[in-house]
Amino acid sequence: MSFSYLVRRLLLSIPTILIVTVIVFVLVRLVPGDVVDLIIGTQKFLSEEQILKMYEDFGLDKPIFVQYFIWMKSMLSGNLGISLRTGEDVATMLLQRLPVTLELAFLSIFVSIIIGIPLGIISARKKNTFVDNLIKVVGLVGLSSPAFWIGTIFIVIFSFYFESFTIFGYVAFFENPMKNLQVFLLPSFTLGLMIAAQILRITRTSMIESLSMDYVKVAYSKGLGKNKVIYKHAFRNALSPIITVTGIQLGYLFGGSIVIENMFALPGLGRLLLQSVNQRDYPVIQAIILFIVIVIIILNLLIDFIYTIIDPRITLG
Amino acid sequence: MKGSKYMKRFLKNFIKNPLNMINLIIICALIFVSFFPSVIAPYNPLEMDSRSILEPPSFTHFFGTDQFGRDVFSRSIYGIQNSMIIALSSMIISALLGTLLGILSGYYGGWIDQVISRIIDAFFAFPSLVLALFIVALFGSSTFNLIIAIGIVYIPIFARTLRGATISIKELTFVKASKVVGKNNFKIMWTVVFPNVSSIFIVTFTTNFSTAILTEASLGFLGLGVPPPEPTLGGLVGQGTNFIIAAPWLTLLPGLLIAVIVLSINILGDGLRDVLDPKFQK
Repeated sequence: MSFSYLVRRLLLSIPTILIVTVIVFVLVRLVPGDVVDLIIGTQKFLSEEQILKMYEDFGLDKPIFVQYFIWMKSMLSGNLGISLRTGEDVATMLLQRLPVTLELAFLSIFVSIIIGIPLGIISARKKNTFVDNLIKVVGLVGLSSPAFWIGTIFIVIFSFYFESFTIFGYVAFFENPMKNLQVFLLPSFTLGLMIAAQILRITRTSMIESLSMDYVKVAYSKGLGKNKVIYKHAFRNALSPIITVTGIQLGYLFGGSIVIENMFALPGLGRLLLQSVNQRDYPVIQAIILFIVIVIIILNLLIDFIYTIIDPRITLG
Repeated sequence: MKGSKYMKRFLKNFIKNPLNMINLIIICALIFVSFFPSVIAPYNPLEMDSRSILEPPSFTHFFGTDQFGRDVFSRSIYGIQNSMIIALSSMIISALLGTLLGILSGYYGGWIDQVISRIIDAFFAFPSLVLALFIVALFGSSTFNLIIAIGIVYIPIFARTLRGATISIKELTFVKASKVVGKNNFKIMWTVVFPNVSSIFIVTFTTNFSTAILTEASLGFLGLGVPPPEPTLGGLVGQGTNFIIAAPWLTLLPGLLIAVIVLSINILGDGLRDVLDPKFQK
Protein backbone atom coordinates (compact mmCIF):
# COMPACT_ATOMS: atom_id res chain seq x y z
CA MET A 1 0.00 0.00 0.00
CA SER A 2 1.43 3.29 -0.95
CA PHE A 3 1.79 5.86 1.74
CA SER A 4 0.55 8.66 -0.50
CA TYR A 5 -2.74 6.84 -1.03
CA LEU A 6 -3.23 6.50 2.70
CA VAL A 7 -2.64 10.20 3.18
CA ARG A 8 -4.91 11.19 0.26
CA ARG A 9 -7.71 8.94 1.44
CA LEU A 10 -7.44 10.38 4.95
CA LEU A 11 -7.44 13.93 3.62
CA LEU A 12 -10.50 13.25 1.45
CA SER A 13 -12.47 12.04 4.45
CA ILE A 14 -11.88 15.33 6.28
CA PRO A 15 -14.20 17.42 4.04
CA THR A 16 -16.75 14.60 4.24
CA ILE A 17 -16.70 14.68 8.04
CA LEU A 18 -16.88 18.49 8.03
CA ILE A 19 -19.88 18.49 5.69
CA VAL A 20 -21.53 15.88 7.93
CA THR A 21 -21.13 18.18 10.93
CA VAL A 22 -22.60 21.07 8.92
CA ILE A 23 -25.57 18.92 7.86
CA VAL A 24 -26.27 17.85 11.44
CA PHE A 25 -25.78 21.38 12.80
CA VAL A 26 -27.98 23.04 10.18
CA LEU A 27 -30.76 20.44 10.35
CA VAL A 28 -31.04 20.75 14.12
CA ARG A 29 -31.19 24.55 13.85
CA LEU A 30 -33.89 24.37 11.17
CA VAL A 31 -36.30 22.99 13.73
CA PRO A 32 -38.94 25.54 14.65
CA GLY A 33 -38.13 26.77 18.16
CA ASP A 34 -34.71 26.60 19.78
CA VAL A 35 -33.19 25.14 22.92
CA VAL A 36 -34.38 28.07 25.00
CA ASP A 37 -37.97 27.64 23.81
CA LEU A 38 -37.74 24.01 24.81
CA ILE A 39 -36.49 24.85 28.30
CA ILE A 40 -39.10 27.57 28.68
CA GLY A 41 -41.60 24.91 27.74
CA THR A 42 -40.51 22.74 30.67
CA GLN A 43 -39.87 25.52 33.22
CA LYS A 44 -42.38 28.31 33.35
CA PHE A 45 -42.07 31.58 35.32
CA LEU A 46 -38.78 32.73 33.83
CA SER A 47 -38.22 36.48 33.73
CA GLU A 48 -37.35 38.36 30.54
CA GLU A 49 -33.79 38.85 31.82
CA GLN A 50 -33.30 35.18 32.62
CA ILE A 51 -34.43 34.27 29.11
CA LEU A 52 -32.03 36.78 27.54
CA LYS A 53 -29.24 35.41 29.70
CA MET A 54 -30.04 31.92 28.51
CA TYR A 55 -29.76 33.04 24.88
CA GLU A 56 -26.31 34.41 25.73
CA ASP A 57 -25.28 31.28 27.62
CA PHE A 58 -26.16 29.07 24.68
CA GLY A 59 -24.52 31.52 22.26
CA LEU A 60 -27.80 31.88 20.41
CA ASP A 61 -27.42 35.67 20.18
CA LYS A 62 -24.45 35.27 17.81
CA PRO A 63 -24.56 34.80 14.01
CA ILE A 64 -25.15 31.22 12.91
CA PHE A 65 -21.66 30.55 11.53
CA VAL A 66 -20.09 31.80 14.77
CA GLN A 67 -22.44 29.41 16.58
CA TYR A 68 -21.18 26.61 14.35
CA PHE A 69 -17.55 27.27 15.28
CA ILE A 70 -18.36 27.46 18.99
CA TRP A 71 -20.25 24.18 18.65
CA MET A 72 -17.42 22.49 16.74
CA LYS A 73 -14.88 23.68 19.29
CA SER A 74 -16.78 22.18 22.17
CA MET A 75 -17.42 18.95 20.20
CA LEU A 76 -13.72 18.57 19.45
CA SER A 77 -12.85 19.04 23.11
CA GLY A 78 -15.16 16.13 23.92
CA ASN A 79 -17.94 18.31 25.30
CA LEU A 80 -21.07 16.97 23.60
CA GLY A 81 -23.42 19.06 25.71
CA ILE A 82 -25.91 18.02 28.36
CA SER A 83 -29.22 16.24 28.03
CA LEU A 84 -32.19 18.62 28.08
CA ARG A 85 -34.22 16.08 30.03
CA THR A 86 -31.90 14.56 32.58
CA GLY A 87 -29.08 17.12 32.74
CA GLU A 88 -26.58 14.28 32.29
CA ASP A 89 -23.39 14.75 30.31
CA VAL A 90 -24.10 13.46 26.79
CA ALA A 91 -20.58 12.06 26.28
CA THR A 92 -20.95 9.95 29.43
CA MET A 93 -24.38 8.71 28.30
CA LEU A 94 -22.91 7.69 24.94
CA LEU A 95 -19.98 5.84 26.48
CA GLN A 96 -22.31 3.95 28.83
CA ARG A 97 -24.50 2.70 25.96
CA LEU A 98 -21.76 2.07 23.43
CA PRO A 99 -20.61 -1.41 24.61
CA VAL A 100 -24.12 -2.83 24.10
CA THR A 101 -24.32 -1.61 20.51
CA LEU A 102 -20.78 -2.73 19.76
CA GLU A 103 -21.47 -6.21 21.09
CA LEU A 104 -24.65 -6.43 19.02
CA ALA A 105 -22.82 -5.20 15.92
CA PHE A 106 -19.92 -7.59 16.41
CA LEU A 107 -22.13 -10.63 17.00
CA SER A 108 -24.40 -9.77 14.06
CA ILE A 109 -21.50 -9.46 11.65
CA PHE A 110 -20.15 -12.75 13.00
CA VAL A 111 -23.51 -14.47 12.42
CA SER A 112 -23.83 -12.99 8.94
CA ILE A 113 -20.35 -14.13 7.90
CA ILE A 114 -20.68 -17.70 9.19
CA ILE A 115 -24.02 -18.03 7.38
CA GLY A 116 -23.44 -15.93 4.27
CA ILE A 117 -20.00 -17.01 3.07
CA PRO A 118 -20.39 -20.83 3.26
CA LEU A 119 -23.82 -20.69 1.61
CA GLY A 120 -22.48 -18.38 -1.09
CA ILE A 121 -19.59 -20.74 -1.82
CA ILE A 122 -21.86 -23.80 -1.95
CA SER A 123 -24.22 -21.92 -4.24
CA ALA A 124 -21.39 -20.95 -6.58
CA ARG A 125 -19.94 -24.49 -6.67
CA LYS A 126 -23.34 -25.97 -7.48
CA LYS A 127 -24.26 -23.21 -9.91
CA ASN A 128 -27.65 -23.65 -11.62
CA THR A 129 -28.59 -26.77 -9.66
CA PHE A 130 -31.51 -27.26 -7.29
CA VAL A 131 -29.31 -26.45 -4.27
CA ASP A 132 -28.15 -23.22 -5.89
CA ASN A 133 -31.70 -22.14 -6.71
CA LEU A 134 -32.84 -22.97 -3.18
CA ILE A 135 -30.03 -20.92 -1.66
CA LYS A 136 -30.78 -18.07 -4.08
CA VAL A 137 -34.43 -18.02 -3.00
CA VAL A 138 -33.44 -18.14 0.68
CA GLY A 139 -31.11 -15.20 0.04
CA LEU A 140 -33.79 -13.17 -1.70
CA VAL A 141 -36.32 -13.88 1.06
CA GLY A 142 -33.76 -12.91 3.69
CA LEU A 143 -33.08 -9.69 1.83
CA SER A 144 -36.76 -8.82 1.59
CA SER A 145 -37.93 -9.60 5.11
CA PRO A 146 -37.96 -6.64 7.46
CA ALA A 147 -35.71 -7.28 10.47
CA PHE A 148 -38.51 -6.43 12.89
CA TRP A 149 -40.69 -9.11 11.33
CA ILE A 150 -37.99 -11.78 11.64
CA GLY A 151 -37.51 -10.60 15.22
CA THR A 152 -41.19 -11.06 16.05
CA ILE A 153 -41.13 -14.55 14.55
CA PHE A 154 -38.19 -15.43 16.80
CA ILE A 155 -39.89 -13.96 19.85
CA VAL A 156 -43.12 -15.86 19.16
CA ILE A 157 -41.34 -19.18 18.53
CA PHE A 158 -39.07 -18.92 21.53
CA SER A 159 -41.73 -17.79 23.95
CA PHE A 160 -44.07 -20.62 22.90
CA TYR A 161 -41.63 -23.50 22.51
CA PHE A 162 -38.59 -22.64 24.66
CA GLU A 163 -40.13 -21.24 27.79
CA SER A 164 -36.94 -21.39 29.85
CA PHE A 165 -35.07 -19.27 27.29
CA THR A 166 -34.41 -15.68 28.40
CA ILE A 167 -35.38 -13.35 25.56
CA PHE A 168 -35.40 -10.04 27.40
CA GLY A 169 -33.38 -8.69 30.30
CA TYR A 170 -29.94 -7.35 29.46
CA VAL A 171 -26.99 -8.39 31.64
CA ALA A 172 -23.46 -7.08 31.11
CA PHE A 173 -21.00 -9.61 29.72
CA PHE A 174 -18.62 -9.43 32.69
CA GLU A 175 -21.46 -9.89 35.14
CA ASN A 176 -22.80 -13.09 33.65
CA PRO A 177 -21.27 -14.11 30.28
CA MET A 178 -23.64 -17.02 29.61
CA LYS A 179 -26.76 -15.02 30.28
CA ASN A 180 -25.37 -12.11 28.30
CA LEU A 181 -24.79 -14.28 25.22
CA GLN A 182 -28.24 -15.83 25.62
CA VAL A 183 -29.87 -12.39 25.62
CA PHE A 184 -27.85 -11.38 22.56
CA LEU A 185 -28.57 -14.58 20.60
CA LEU A 186 -31.91 -13.63 19.06
CA PRO A 187 -31.07 -9.96 18.41
CA SER A 188 -27.80 -10.80 16.66
CA PHE A 189 -29.45 -13.49 14.52
CA THR A 190 -32.28 -11.12 13.62
CA LEU A 191 -29.89 -8.38 12.58
CA GLY A 192 -27.33 -10.78 11.11
CA LEU A 193 -29.72 -12.61 8.77
CA MET A 194 -30.34 -9.69 6.46
CA ILE A 195 -26.65 -8.92 6.22
CA ALA A 196 -26.04 -12.63 5.65
CA ALA A 197 -28.35 -12.46 2.64
CA GLN A 198 -26.31 -9.62 1.15
CA ILE A 199 -23.02 -11.42 1.83
CA LEU A 200 -24.43 -14.64 0.37
CA ARG A 201 -25.41 -12.93 -2.87
CA ILE A 202 -22.10 -11.19 -3.40
CA THR A 203 -20.10 -14.29 -2.39
CA ARG A 204 -21.96 -16.33 -4.99
CA THR A 205 -21.45 -13.81 -7.82
CA SER A 206 -17.85 -13.21 -6.93
CA MET A 207 -17.00 -16.91 -6.50
CA ILE A 208 -18.62 -17.83 -9.83
CA GLU A 209 -16.45 -15.24 -11.50
CA SER A 210 -13.27 -16.32 -9.82
CA LEU A 211 -13.94 -20.06 -10.36
CA SER A 212 -14.08 -19.41 -14.11
CA MET A 213 -10.65 -17.78 -14.17
CA ASP A 214 -7.60 -19.32 -15.78
CA TYR A 215 -5.61 -19.54 -12.57
CA VAL A 216 -8.24 -21.91 -11.18
CA LYS A 217 -7.86 -24.15 -14.22
CA VAL A 218 -4.10 -23.98 -13.82
CA ALA A 219 -4.40 -24.92 -10.15
CA TYR A 220 -6.56 -27.92 -11.06
CA SER A 221 -4.20 -29.02 -13.82
CA LYS A 222 -1.31 -28.81 -11.38
CA GLY A 223 -3.19 -31.59 -9.58
CA LEU A 224 -4.21 -29.61 -6.51
CA GLY A 225 -7.15 -30.93 -4.49
CA LYS A 226 -10.60 -29.46 -4.99
CA ASN A 227 -10.80 -27.89 -1.56
CA LYS A 228 -7.39 -26.35 -1.83
CA VAL A 229 -8.23 -24.79 -5.18
CA ILE A 230 -11.54 -23.46 -3.97
CA TYR A 231 -10.46 -22.05 -0.65
CA LYS A 232 -6.85 -21.12 -1.25
CA HIS A 233 -7.06 -19.84 -4.82
CA ALA A 234 -10.61 -18.97 -5.81
CA PHE A 235 -11.98 -17.72 -2.51
CA ARG A 236 -9.03 -15.53 -1.74
CA ASN A 237 -9.46 -13.80 -5.06
CA ALA A 238 -13.19 -13.41 -4.55
CA LEU A 239 -12.72 -11.77 -1.20
CA SER A 240 -12.46 -8.06 -2.06
CA PRO A 241 -16.03 -7.55 -3.29
CA ILE A 242 -17.24 -9.54 -0.28
CA ILE A 243 -15.42 -7.16 2.04
CA THR A 244 -16.82 -4.14 0.19
CA VAL A 245 -20.38 -5.36 0.63
CA THR A 246 -19.77 -6.23 4.28
CA GLY A 247 -18.42 -2.71 4.71
CA ILE A 248 -21.48 -1.13 3.13
CA GLN A 249 -23.59 -3.19 5.53
CA LEU A 250 -21.99 -1.47 8.54
CA GLY A 251 -24.32 1.45 7.89
CA TYR A 252 -27.28 -0.88 7.79
CA LEU A 253 -26.02 -2.44 11.01
CA PHE A 254 -26.29 0.85 12.91
CA GLY A 255 -29.69 1.63 11.39
CA GLY A 256 -30.89 -1.86 12.15
CA SER A 257 -29.61 -1.72 15.71
CA ILE A 258 -32.11 1.07 16.43
CA VAL A 259 -34.95 -1.30 15.55
CA ILE A 260 -33.44 -4.40 17.16
CA GLU A 261 -32.38 -2.74 20.43
CA ASN A 262 -35.87 -1.36 20.89
CA MET A 263 -37.45 -4.64 20.04
CA PHE A 264 -35.33 -6.69 22.43
CA ALA A 265 -34.98 -3.99 25.12
CA LEU A 266 -31.19 -3.76 24.84
CA PRO A 267 -29.91 -0.54 26.45
CA GLY A 268 -27.62 0.53 23.56
CA LEU A 269 -27.20 3.66 21.45
CA GLY A 270 -30.17 2.84 19.23
CA ARG A 271 -32.52 2.63 22.18
CA LEU A 272 -31.11 5.84 23.62
CA LEU A 273 -31.59 7.50 20.23
CA LEU A 274 -35.25 6.54 20.01
CA GLN A 275 -35.90 7.60 23.60
CA SER A 276 -34.27 10.97 22.90
CA VAL A 277 -36.29 11.34 19.71
CA ASN A 278 -39.50 10.74 21.61
CA GLN A 279 -38.46 13.27 24.27
CA ARG A 280 -37.12 15.78 21.72
CA ASP A 281 -33.76 15.77 23.50
CA TYR A 282 -31.79 17.44 20.68
CA PRO A 283 -28.26 17.47 22.17
CA VAL A 284 -28.43 13.71 22.65
CA ILE A 285 -29.94 13.06 19.19
CA GLN A 286 -27.33 15.26 17.55
CA ALA A 287 -24.44 13.62 19.38
CA ILE A 288 -25.54 10.05 18.64
CA ILE A 289 -26.13 10.74 14.94
CA LEU A 290 -22.80 12.50 14.57
CA PHE A 291 -21.06 9.70 16.42
CA ILE A 292 -22.60 6.96 14.26
CA VAL A 293 -21.78 8.72 10.99
CA ILE A 294 -18.18 9.48 11.93
CA VAL A 295 -17.66 5.88 13.09
CA ILE A 296 -18.97 4.67 9.73
CA ILE A 297 -16.63 6.98 7.80
CA ILE A 298 -13.66 5.75 9.84
CA LEU A 299 -14.64 2.08 9.45
CA ASN A 300 -14.93 2.51 5.68
CA LEU A 301 -11.48 4.02 5.67
CA LEU A 302 -10.16 1.00 7.57
CA ILE A 303 -11.83 -1.37 5.12
CA ASP A 304 -10.04 0.34 2.24
CA PHE A 305 -6.76 -0.37 3.97
CA ILE A 306 -7.68 -3.96 4.74
CA TYR A 307 -8.11 -4.53 0.98
CA THR A 308 -4.48 -4.03 0.27
CA ILE A 309 -3.50 -6.49 2.96
CA ILE A 310 -5.83 -9.16 1.62
CA ASP A 311 -5.28 -8.54 -2.04
CA PRO A 312 -1.66 -7.68 -2.76
CA ARG A 313 -2.53 -6.96 -6.40
CA ILE A 314 -4.20 -3.75 -5.34
CA THR A 315 -1.72 -0.94 -4.95
CA LEU A 316 -4.12 1.87 -4.38
CA GLY A 317 -3.20 5.31 -5.59
CA MET B 1 -36.94 2.28 -34.76
CA LYS B 2 -33.91 1.31 -32.70
CA GLY B 3 -35.99 1.76 -29.57
CA SER B 4 -38.71 -0.68 -30.58
CA LYS B 5 -36.17 -3.37 -31.46
CA TYR B 6 -34.54 -2.90 -28.10
CA MET B 7 -37.92 -3.13 -26.41
CA LYS B 8 -38.70 -6.41 -28.19
CA ARG B 9 -35.43 -8.01 -27.10
CA PHE B 10 -36.06 -6.80 -23.60
CA LEU B 11 -39.56 -8.30 -23.47
CA LYS B 12 -38.38 -11.58 -24.98
CA ASN B 13 -35.68 -11.99 -22.35
CA PHE B 14 -37.98 -10.89 -19.57
CA ILE B 15 -40.81 -13.28 -20.43
CA LYS B 16 -38.46 -16.25 -20.77
CA ASN B 17 -38.18 -16.50 -17.00
CA PRO B 18 -41.46 -17.84 -15.51
CA LEU B 19 -40.61 -16.32 -12.12
CA ASN B 20 -40.83 -12.89 -13.73
CA MET B 21 -44.35 -13.63 -14.95
CA ILE B 22 -45.66 -14.87 -11.59
CA ASN B 23 -44.06 -11.88 -10.04
CA LEU B 24 -45.61 -9.51 -12.54
CA ILE B 25 -49.04 -10.74 -11.43
CA ILE B 26 -48.20 -9.96 -7.79
CA ILE B 27 -46.97 -6.50 -8.81
CA CYS B 28 -50.18 -5.85 -10.78
CA ALA B 29 -52.21 -6.92 -7.74
CA LEU B 30 -50.13 -4.57 -5.63
CA ILE B 31 -50.78 -1.66 -7.97
CA PHE B 32 -54.51 -2.47 -8.04
CA VAL B 33 -54.69 -2.62 -4.23
CA SER B 34 -52.84 0.68 -3.96
CA PHE B 35 -55.32 2.41 -6.24
CA PHE B 36 -58.55 0.74 -5.09
CA PRO B 37 -58.14 -0.48 -1.50
CA SER B 38 -61.88 -0.10 -0.88
CA VAL B 39 -62.65 -2.80 -3.47
CA ILE B 40 -60.55 -5.38 -1.61
CA ALA B 41 -60.91 -4.36 2.04
CA PRO B 42 -64.06 -5.93 3.54
CA TYR B 43 -64.32 -3.45 6.44
CA ASN B 44 -63.65 0.19 7.17
CA PRO B 45 -60.04 0.24 8.44
CA LEU B 46 -60.83 2.74 11.20
CA GLU B 47 -64.10 1.20 12.41
CA MET B 48 -63.88 -0.15 15.95
CA ASP B 49 -66.00 -3.03 17.21
CA SER B 50 -65.98 -3.67 20.94
CA ARG B 51 -67.67 -7.07 20.49
CA SER B 52 -64.76 -8.57 18.55
CA ILE B 53 -61.47 -7.67 20.21
CA LEU B 54 -58.17 -9.50 19.50
CA GLU B 55 -59.93 -12.22 17.53
CA PRO B 56 -57.66 -14.73 15.78
CA PRO B 57 -57.77 -15.00 11.97
CA SER B 58 -61.02 -16.48 10.64
CA PHE B 59 -63.18 -16.35 7.52
CA THR B 60 -64.88 -13.17 8.71
CA HIS B 61 -61.57 -11.52 9.67
CA PHE B 62 -58.74 -12.94 7.51
CA PHE B 63 -55.97 -11.37 9.62
CA GLY B 64 -57.95 -11.30 12.90
CA THR B 65 -58.81 -8.13 14.81
CA ASP B 66 -56.77 -5.73 16.96
CA GLN B 67 -57.29 -4.43 20.50
CA PHE B 68 -60.03 -2.07 19.28
CA GLY B 69 -61.79 -4.73 17.25
CA ARG B 70 -60.61 -3.23 13.96
CA ASP B 71 -60.21 -5.64 11.04
CA VAL B 72 -56.45 -6.13 10.56
CA PHE B 73 -56.81 -7.31 6.95
CA SER B 74 -58.62 -4.13 5.93
CA ARG B 75 -56.10 -2.07 7.86
CA SER B 76 -53.28 -3.89 6.06
CA ILE B 77 -54.85 -3.22 2.66
CA TYR B 78 -55.12 0.49 3.39
CA GLY B 79 -51.65 0.27 4.94
CA ILE B 80 -50.31 -0.97 1.60
CA GLN B 81 -51.81 2.08 -0.05
CA ASN B 82 -50.20 4.46 2.47
CA SER B 83 -46.84 2.72 2.30
CA MET B 84 -46.85 2.72 -1.50
CA ILE B 85 -47.77 6.40 -1.70
CA ILE B 86 -44.92 7.33 0.63
CA ALA B 87 -42.33 5.04 -0.93
CA LEU B 88 -43.22 6.00 -4.51
CA SER B 89 -43.38 9.76 -3.89
CA SER B 90 -40.07 9.76 -2.06
CA MET B 91 -38.46 7.66 -4.80
CA ILE B 92 -39.63 10.20 -7.37
CA ILE B 93 -38.01 13.00 -5.37
CA SER B 94 -34.72 11.15 -4.98
CA ALA B 95 -34.73 9.96 -8.59
CA LEU B 96 -35.29 13.48 -9.96
CA LEU B 97 -32.75 15.26 -7.77
CA GLY B 98 -30.24 12.41 -7.64
CA THR B 99 -30.24 11.89 -11.39
CA LEU B 100 -29.89 15.61 -12.02
CA LEU B 101 -26.95 15.91 -9.62
CA GLY B 102 -25.33 12.70 -10.87
CA ILE B 103 -25.50 13.62 -14.55
CA LEU B 104 -24.37 17.20 -13.86
CA SER B 105 -21.34 16.11 -11.89
CA GLY B 106 -20.43 13.28 -14.24
CA TYR B 107 -20.85 15.40 -17.37
CA TYR B 108 -19.05 18.55 -16.28
CA GLY B 109 -16.40 17.03 -14.01
CA GLY B 110 -13.96 19.55 -12.51
CA TRP B 111 -14.97 21.64 -9.54
CA ILE B 112 -18.70 21.05 -10.07
CA ASP B 113 -18.05 17.34 -9.71
CA GLN B 114 -15.83 17.91 -6.66
CA VAL B 115 -18.44 20.00 -4.83
CA ILE B 116 -21.36 17.71 -5.64
CA SER B 117 -19.38 14.57 -4.89
CA ARG B 118 -18.20 15.77 -1.47
CA ILE B 119 -21.74 16.68 -0.42
CA ILE B 120 -23.05 13.37 -1.76
CA ASP B 121 -20.28 11.51 0.12
CA ALA B 122 -21.33 13.21 3.33
CA PHE B 123 -24.99 12.25 2.91
CA PHE B 124 -23.93 8.78 1.86
CA ALA B 125 -22.17 8.27 5.19
CA PHE B 126 -25.53 8.44 6.99
CA PRO B 127 -27.20 5.02 7.24
CA SER B 128 -30.55 5.41 5.46
CA LEU B 129 -32.68 4.64 8.50
CA VAL B 130 -30.59 6.93 10.73
CA LEU B 131 -30.91 9.89 8.36
CA ALA B 132 -34.63 9.37 7.80
CA LEU B 133 -35.19 9.01 11.53
CA PHE B 134 -33.15 12.16 12.19
CA ILE B 135 -35.20 14.25 9.75
CA VAL B 136 -38.52 12.89 10.96
CA ALA B 137 -37.44 13.38 14.59
CA LEU B 138 -36.63 17.02 13.92
CA PHE B 139 -39.62 18.00 11.81
CA GLY B 140 -42.29 15.66 13.12
CA SER B 141 -43.86 12.63 11.55
CA SER B 142 -46.50 13.44 8.96
CA THR B 143 -47.00 11.84 5.57
CA PHE B 144 -45.42 14.88 3.91
CA ASN B 145 -42.35 14.90 6.18
CA LEU B 146 -41.88 11.16 5.70
CA ILE B 147 -41.88 11.58 1.93
CA ILE B 148 -39.31 14.39 2.15
CA ALA B 149 -37.15 12.48 4.65
CA ILE B 150 -37.05 9.22 2.69
CA GLY B 151 -36.69 11.24 -0.53
CA ILE B 152 -33.54 12.93 0.76
CA VAL B 153 -32.12 9.64 2.01
CA TYR B 154 -32.00 8.04 -1.44
CA ILE B 155 -30.68 11.04 -3.42
CA PRO B 156 -26.99 10.06 -2.93
CA ILE B 157 -27.52 6.56 -4.33
CA PHE B 158 -29.03 7.90 -7.56
CA ALA B 159 -26.41 10.63 -7.79
CA ARG B 160 -23.50 8.23 -7.39
CA THR B 161 -24.80 5.58 -9.76
CA LEU B 162 -25.80 8.03 -12.48
CA ARG B 163 -22.54 9.95 -12.14
CA GLY B 164 -20.58 6.78 -12.79
CA ALA B 165 -22.78 5.87 -15.75
CA THR B 166 -22.46 9.36 -17.24
CA ILE B 167 -18.68 9.35 -16.92
CA SER B 168 -18.51 6.00 -18.70
CA ILE B 169 -20.39 7.23 -21.76
CA LYS B 170 -19.46 10.88 -22.03
CA GLU B 171 -16.23 10.22 -23.91
CA LEU B 172 -18.00 8.07 -26.51
CA THR B 173 -18.18 9.29 -30.09
CA PHE B 174 -21.92 9.98 -30.26
CA VAL B 175 -21.79 12.26 -27.23
CA LYS B 176 -18.79 14.12 -28.59
CA ALA B 177 -20.49 14.32 -31.99
CA SER B 178 -23.51 16.09 -30.50
CA LYS B 179 -21.11 18.67 -29.11
CA VAL B 180 -19.49 19.18 -32.47
CA VAL B 181 -22.91 19.61 -34.07
CA GLY B 182 -23.37 22.49 -31.66
CA LYS B 183 -26.02 21.23 -29.26
CA ASN B 184 -25.90 23.00 -25.92
CA ASN B 185 -24.84 21.08 -22.83
CA PHE B 186 -28.27 20.82 -21.24
CA LYS B 187 -29.76 19.50 -24.46
CA ILE B 188 -26.99 16.90 -24.70
CA MET B 189 -27.54 15.81 -21.10
CA TRP B 190 -31.27 15.45 -21.60
CA THR B 191 -31.47 14.02 -25.12
CA VAL B 192 -28.18 12.11 -25.43
CA VAL B 193 -26.81 11.24 -22.01
CA PHE B 194 -30.00 10.42 -20.12
CA PRO B 195 -31.51 8.00 -22.69
CA ASN B 196 -28.21 6.12 -22.69
CA VAL B 197 -28.06 5.74 -18.92
CA SER B 198 -31.80 5.13 -18.57
CA SER B 199 -31.44 1.36 -18.17
CA ILE B 200 -29.20 1.93 -15.15
CA PHE B 201 -31.70 4.50 -13.93
CA ILE B 202 -34.54 1.95 -14.10
CA VAL B 203 -32.54 -0.69 -12.22
CA THR B 204 -31.51 1.81 -9.52
CA PHE B 205 -35.10 2.96 -9.16
CA THR B 206 -36.49 -0.55 -8.71
CA THR B 207 -33.84 -1.85 -6.31
CA ASN B 208 -34.08 1.23 -4.11
CA PHE B 209 -37.85 1.33 -4.22
CA SER B 210 -37.90 -1.90 -2.21
CA THR B 211 -35.48 -0.56 0.41
CA ALA B 212 -37.51 2.65 0.61
CA ILE B 213 -40.52 0.51 1.54
CA LEU B 214 -38.42 -1.16 4.24
CA THR B 215 -37.20 2.20 5.56
CA GLU B 216 -40.76 3.51 5.74
CA ALA B 217 -41.88 0.30 7.44
CA SER B 218 -39.04 0.52 9.98
CA LEU B 219 -39.97 4.11 10.84
CA GLY B 220 -43.59 3.03 11.21
CA PHE B 221 -42.50 0.15 13.41
CA LEU B 222 -40.57 2.57 15.66
CA GLY B 223 -43.69 4.72 15.98
CA LEU B 224 -42.29 7.50 13.78
CA GLY B 225 -44.37 6.79 10.69
CA VAL B 226 -47.72 8.20 9.65
CA PRO B 227 -49.48 9.10 12.90
CA PRO B 228 -52.34 6.82 14.09
CA PRO B 229 -55.13 5.93 13.49
CA GLU B 230 -54.05 5.89 9.79
CA PRO B 231 -52.70 2.39 9.12
CA THR B 232 -49.30 1.65 7.58
CA LEU B 233 -47.80 -1.82 7.37
CA GLY B 234 -44.80 -1.00 9.58
CA GLY B 235 -47.03 0.77 12.06
CA LEU B 236 -49.35 -2.25 12.28
CA VAL B 237 -46.41 -4.52 13.15
CA GLY B 238 -45.09 -2.01 15.69
CA GLN B 239 -48.43 -1.58 17.46
CA GLY B 240 -48.98 -5.31 17.35
CA THR B 241 -45.81 -6.05 19.32
CA ASN B 242 -47.64 -5.00 22.50
CA PHE B 243 -49.79 -8.11 22.05
CA ILE B 244 -47.12 -10.35 20.62
CA ILE B 245 -47.88 -13.29 22.91
CA ALA B 246 -51.66 -12.86 23.21
CA ALA B 247 -52.24 -12.07 19.54
CA PRO B 248 -49.19 -12.86 17.38
CA TRP B 249 -51.22 -12.48 14.15
CA LEU B 250 -51.25 -8.72 14.68
CA THR B 251 -47.53 -8.60 13.93
CA LEU B 252 -46.86 -11.72 11.88
CA LEU B 253 -49.43 -11.22 9.10
CA PRO B 254 -48.83 -7.54 8.22
CA GLY B 255 -45.09 -8.29 8.46
CA LEU B 256 -45.55 -11.15 6.01
CA LEU B 257 -47.24 -8.73 3.61
CA ILE B 258 -44.26 -6.37 3.76
CA ALA B 259 -41.92 -9.28 3.06
CA VAL B 260 -43.99 -10.43 0.06
CA ILE B 261 -44.20 -6.92 -1.40
CA VAL B 262 -40.50 -6.23 -0.97
CA LEU B 263 -39.63 -9.70 -2.28
CA SER B 264 -41.63 -9.23 -5.46
CA ILE B 265 -40.13 -5.82 -6.10
CA ASN B 266 -36.67 -7.30 -5.51
CA ILE B 267 -37.36 -10.12 -7.97
CA LEU B 268 -38.54 -7.54 -10.49
CA GLY B 269 -35.36 -5.57 -9.84
CA ASP B 270 -33.16 -8.64 -10.30
CA GLY B 271 -35.02 -9.53 -13.50
CA LEU B 272 -34.68 -6.02 -14.89
CA ARG B 273 -31.02 -5.93 -13.94
CA ASP B 274 -30.27 -9.22 -15.70
CA VAL B 275 -31.87 -7.88 -18.84
CA LEU B 276 -30.84 -4.23 -18.76
CA ASP B 277 -27.51 -4.00 -16.98
CA PRO B 278 -24.67 -4.68 -19.42
CA LYS B 279 -22.57 -6.05 -16.54
CA PHE B 280 -24.99 -8.94 -16.12
CA GLN B 281 -25.49 -9.72 -19.78
CA LYS B 282 -23.87 -12.82 -21.14
